[in-house]
Amino acid sequence: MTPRYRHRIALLALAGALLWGSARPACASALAASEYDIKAAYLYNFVKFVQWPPAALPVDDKPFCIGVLGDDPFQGRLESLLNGKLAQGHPVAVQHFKNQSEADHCQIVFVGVSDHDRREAVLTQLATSSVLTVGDSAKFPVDGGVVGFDVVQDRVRFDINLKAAETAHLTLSSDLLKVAHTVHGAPAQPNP
Amino acid sequence: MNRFAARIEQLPIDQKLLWMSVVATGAALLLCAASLVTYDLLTFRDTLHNRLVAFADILGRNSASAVLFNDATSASQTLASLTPRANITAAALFNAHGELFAHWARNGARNSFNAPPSQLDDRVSSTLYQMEIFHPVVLDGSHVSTVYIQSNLSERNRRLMRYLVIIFFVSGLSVALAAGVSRPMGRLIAAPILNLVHIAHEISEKQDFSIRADVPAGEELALFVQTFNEMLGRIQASGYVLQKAHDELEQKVIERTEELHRKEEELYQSRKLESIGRLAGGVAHDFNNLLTGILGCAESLEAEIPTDSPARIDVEEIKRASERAAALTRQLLAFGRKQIIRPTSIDLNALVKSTGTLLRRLIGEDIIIAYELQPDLGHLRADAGQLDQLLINLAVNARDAMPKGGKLLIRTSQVVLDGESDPRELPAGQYIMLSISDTGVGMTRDVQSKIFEPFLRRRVWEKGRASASPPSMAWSNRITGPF
Repeated sequence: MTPRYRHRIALLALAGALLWGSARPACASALAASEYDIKAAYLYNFVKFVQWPPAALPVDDKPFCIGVLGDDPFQGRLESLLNGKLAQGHPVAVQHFKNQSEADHCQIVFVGVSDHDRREAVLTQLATSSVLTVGDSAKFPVDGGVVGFDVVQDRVRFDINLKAAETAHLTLSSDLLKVAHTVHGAPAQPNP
Repeated sequence: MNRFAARIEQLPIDQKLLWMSVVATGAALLLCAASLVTYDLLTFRDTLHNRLVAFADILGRNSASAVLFNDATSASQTLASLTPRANITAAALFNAHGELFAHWARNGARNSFNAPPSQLDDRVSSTLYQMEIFHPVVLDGSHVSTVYIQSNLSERNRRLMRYLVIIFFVSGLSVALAAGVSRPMGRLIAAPILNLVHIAHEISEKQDFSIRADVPAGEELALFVQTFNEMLGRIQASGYVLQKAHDELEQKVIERTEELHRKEEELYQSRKLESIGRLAGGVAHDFNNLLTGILGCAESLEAEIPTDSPARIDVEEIKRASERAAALTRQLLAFGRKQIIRPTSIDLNALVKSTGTLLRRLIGEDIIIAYELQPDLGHLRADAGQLDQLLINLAVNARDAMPKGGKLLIRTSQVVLDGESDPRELPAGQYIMLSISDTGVGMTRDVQSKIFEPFLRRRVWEKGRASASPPSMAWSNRITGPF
């Protein structure tokens, strides 16, 4: 074997190592993307199984508001997914908020707030304003949110707090409860 | 088929009718049932399709959340809710991207399902044994999933089976009913024909063409029986004519045969008489020669005896008796030789008187002979000898009819016949009648027709008293015609 060949092999190995290294983070981000794609779809799917009080729904041709409060883990996927979609006869509009007080006119608000105290304040603020609050953890409905995403056995599931839904004057379809991972605040209905 | 037709042809009418009604009823019923069943099966396909779509819709709505939130377990549970629906064999759920999401099958695992159609509409496909549908589920305006359901057609087969059972029983009942109705009908139709057969049999048995069949109601049969009766009438009429001709012929044959017998008898008698006549003629010839001798001797004796001698009376008596005997032998000779008859003009009264002397001797003492002779009788043309003989024949026959004595009356008279009342059918005109009657035992019509024949009493003839009778046969043959 000549030193020239040796050089070449080293080059190939370097290239392979480089390729391997670059591939790994790409894979991880793809998985994450898949998770939030699903969650974005779920957010939109909730519209079909939740009944808002008539006063809380948009009038005329006003858009159906799906808001993201705080950090946006969807990274634009929500907009691209919901672009041009209709929700209960209205065009869907995705809005981003920093402050919870701006979000109480929305029908669905994804609370991307990781800070526990602040999240509590947000929930207190939105509790009675007929907003379907959706959080990114199983603790979210326990803390007073209506729906909380959870990943169970590599599948995106969600928990529901029925009491919080009641407080927000929201009626959840039994079909939704049927597919929920855990339903809180429903003493008569044992958890599956 | 031909054998079947031939077999049907051999059946009696009522059974033919029975078969006809049974087959017609059965065929009509089967056709009816077949169209009804076909219609029902076609309708059933639509009904089943609609039902499957309804199931799919409910299933789709119930499983929409499971599909949307990716809960295959829940979706499978929802699909499994089809288990009580016995005829549904498999079901599957596809998500909006057409990927298989959940599936259920009744018997064992079935993992391969055809992809749903890309268009958002219902699809149905059915084979002989199963039907499958794809039904898209749209929720709130967006396509959520597509439901696939497969159903077998056992329900259809069950229906078909039920229909077959019902058709079988109804057909049986209808056929039985048709048979029940057509049997008396058949008898009704066959009865007049059988009656006709019976009558035809009776006619041929009794040879009686006057029998007639009762005319039944109903156009064709009535016509049939009427024609049959007319035929009988014609046969009867022709048979009557034939019988009449036959009877007449037979009568003629009998008459001719009798006549033939009679003629044979007459011929026999004539031949007998002829030979007897010839014998008598021979005897008369010899006797006449003897009489010539006697008469010659008597005349020469008369010439020798003096006129006043008492012996002269005896000689004259010998001469007279000899002359009478000669006349008798001449008569015998005339009969025996069948002399040609020479009719001459005769005074009947004179002839009767001269023959009366001879009759006196012929018929004996105990019979009185009386004469009733019409004066101015006129003359008739006949052979005197023959007429003499006739008188002798009749007188001898009369004597035989009166063995213990009696009275013989001889009458002559003029009569006029009108040509109608006389049984001998003589033409009308003036006649001279000679009638001879006796007081004897009388005679039958049969005897009457033979009264002119000699030897009427055969017994008498056999006793040998034939002297006066033979000539009257030939004579009476001639006298039967008018003079």
